Amino acid sequence: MNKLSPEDEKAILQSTPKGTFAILVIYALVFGVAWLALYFGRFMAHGPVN
Amino acid sequence: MHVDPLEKIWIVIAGLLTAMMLGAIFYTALAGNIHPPSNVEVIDSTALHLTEEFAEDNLGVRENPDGSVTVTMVATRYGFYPQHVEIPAHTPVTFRFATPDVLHGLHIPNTNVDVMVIPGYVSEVNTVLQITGSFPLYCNEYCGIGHHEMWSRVTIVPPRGWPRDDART
Repeated sequence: MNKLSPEDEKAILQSTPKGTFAILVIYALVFGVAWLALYFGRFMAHGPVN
Repeated sequence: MHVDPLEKIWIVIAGLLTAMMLGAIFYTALAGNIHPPSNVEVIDSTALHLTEEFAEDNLGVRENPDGSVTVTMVATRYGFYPQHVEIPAHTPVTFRFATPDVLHGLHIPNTNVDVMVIPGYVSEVNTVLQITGSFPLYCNEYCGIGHHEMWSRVTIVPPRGWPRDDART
């Protein structure tokens, strides 16, 4: 395993974690698409109600 | 105050998701006239059988002059009356429910018909049913020891097959 220099280690610790960012984006996309599918694909498809 | 860049991103994403959901709900509410049933109409529950609309002989499905359909039903421990109704699909339908006893709930699976039936009030739901088939219409508010047996049947038929000659009202 390569030894990181103190500068590299500091840069990594201060940067935004890319994996976490990817999880946020994937979660948001899945949530948004699932919500739209349920709302328009199921609820609205059942017909208007009032 | 320090906010981590990831948290800022998540705040923006959550805000966008909320805006998308509220936007879709407001749009369909305004453009499609879709909102929770909100009819307020009082009725004397103790004399339900003496009213013209909810008297036993007048319950069921009625075709209106404009082609729409009105379904009048009574929810009582432990059943819905009449116990079977046949309704056309793709036709404006008004469900009107009343109860002579306690609180009931009413739901027809695969439709958006879902309403509480409260003593002293007439519950009204307007909809256009999009599917055909036979579905249970069941109570979804605990109303007593026989609650689990409280259900009826709704048959939704294509508009051309309705009303059957023997079911014409």
